[in-house]
Amino acid sequence: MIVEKVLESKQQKIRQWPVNANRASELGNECLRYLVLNRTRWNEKTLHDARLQMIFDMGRMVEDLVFQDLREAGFTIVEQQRAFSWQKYQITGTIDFKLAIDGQVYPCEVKSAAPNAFASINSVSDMLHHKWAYMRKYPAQLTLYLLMDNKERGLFLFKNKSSGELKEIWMDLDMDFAESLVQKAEAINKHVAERTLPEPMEYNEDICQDCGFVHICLPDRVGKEVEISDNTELLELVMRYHALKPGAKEYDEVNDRINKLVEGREKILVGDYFIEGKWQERMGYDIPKEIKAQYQKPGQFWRKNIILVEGKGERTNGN
Amino acid sequence: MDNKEVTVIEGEQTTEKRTPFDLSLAAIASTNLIELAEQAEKRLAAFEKIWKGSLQRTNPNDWSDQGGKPYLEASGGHKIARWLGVSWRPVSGPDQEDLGHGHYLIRYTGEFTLSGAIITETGSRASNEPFFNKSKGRELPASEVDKGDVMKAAYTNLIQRGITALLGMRNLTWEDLKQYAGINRKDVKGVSYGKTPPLGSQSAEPGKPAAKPAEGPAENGAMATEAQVKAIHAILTAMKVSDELGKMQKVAGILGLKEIPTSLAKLTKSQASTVIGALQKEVGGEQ
Repeated sequence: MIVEKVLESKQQKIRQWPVNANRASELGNECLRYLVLNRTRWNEKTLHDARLQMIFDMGRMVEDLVFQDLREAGFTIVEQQRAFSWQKYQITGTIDFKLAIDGQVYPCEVKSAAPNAFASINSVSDMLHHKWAYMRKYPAQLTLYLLMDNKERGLFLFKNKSSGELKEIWMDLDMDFAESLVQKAEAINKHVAERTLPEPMEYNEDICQDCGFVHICLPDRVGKEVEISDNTELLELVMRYHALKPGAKEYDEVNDRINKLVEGREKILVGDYFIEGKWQERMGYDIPKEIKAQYQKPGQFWRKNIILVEGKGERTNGN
Repeated sequence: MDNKEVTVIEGEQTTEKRTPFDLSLAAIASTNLIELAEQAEKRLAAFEKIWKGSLQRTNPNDWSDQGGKPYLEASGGHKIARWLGVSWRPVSGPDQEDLGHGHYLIRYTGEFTLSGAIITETGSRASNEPFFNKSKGRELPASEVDKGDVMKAAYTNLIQRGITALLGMRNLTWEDLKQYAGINRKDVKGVSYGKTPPLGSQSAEPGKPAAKPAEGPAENGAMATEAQVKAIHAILTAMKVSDELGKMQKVAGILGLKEIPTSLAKLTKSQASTVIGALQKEVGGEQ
């Protein structure tokens, strides 16, 4: 009863606002059709629900907490919630604030993140290649602020909504990326002016399923059907893999436990087993995150997931 | 030669089963028919396995307990569609039908395909459903209902109905769910039809299903009797609501259901009783 009342109150706050420009926070969206519809048929977009509104509200509260943390630490915050407008490309935005450090002023975006999301991002590249579409939009937003503010460097401050932990991720202006965003804005403006609509993007579950314009866009979904294989070698290997997997897991657990029990003890006799051990030297590399991030590049690997159909949801993960 | 094998008309659905390849006369002549039959059997067995595997992709949040039967929510439908590789293509909509007093029904039609089988399905929602037109216990005029929400819900209804119809998931039992997905009925949310949930019940948001079903008396869980179902059909027909979709729409509106029921037989005894009472009142009011 109480929760319903709060949700109902949140629901009242949800409003539709006219969209007359390309918002910096939206230009990272990968669907051009969405971005055009957002300009031309914004009033037909489905409103987000009360639960998402609560997440937005919490994000704003977290922002205030970050301001407080920064002020307590002696930082100078300037131009809080400054609005930007780049009329030529019809781009607008509002930056959270700028942070003054050693005589320099840096545009800063504060983002609150759930623990899993917080742990998953340590660089701009992590954001750009993130599995969640909303995270992939962040670099575009800050890039446009840097461009409009004529700055070379800005930063993201992520706050873990659970632990309160802070994480800073610096971003240098990437002119190629910035140019692609400006070109995207130009393409949107052209469609808006000519009252045309780009073709739908290839159906993407993560983007299309919850899109506020899916009922207007009406994308076709072309599913990738399951391949039925009669490769006996593959079947035998998978059956063997499945049979060995529980033992392998137990082996790892037992081995870890033994390692903990024998560490630092050179010679032990236990039952009929003689266990010997010694410290081995090895070279480690303690590379600062920001340096490591410079050498980071996207790659791919094939991740498999073996499911025994007749079992009760039994899954076997592996690389 | 047309490769269409069977056309089955089931209510609003048109089911067309096509062979996965072009069955030309030349191909038949050069292929051993027994071999073909064996392949078809193997394919059917494989498909059954894939179908069962798809259930394992879902979790209790992807299901709800409607009228005592497991009901696949849109979230689960998407997971299964992704796993199986279901394709769909909206073919018409949004079509708008006037329901009077400014209210309207939005309808979408789409084609759903998998392994050569094609069905056509319809999804719809009406602006006068309590989910859309109730706020703080007050009934909103049609002009205040967010049309985008009604349209999106109708579209979601289309996808959900298409997937479940294509995969024959409308007649699943709790035993099936337990066996193939390890999902227990007690972990699945029920649907609250009451306007104010009792204190302590964990309902979701207004108009949406409650998180846990309230354990009511046995009578509440019993299915509608044949006499009740016949009575509802008779009253609705007398009210000139003769098409199946219109009838289900009306019943969903009275009960405040999030999704339109696929059959009146899926109502519980108490739901059927509520519907009959409301319809009789409506008929009485009109006279």
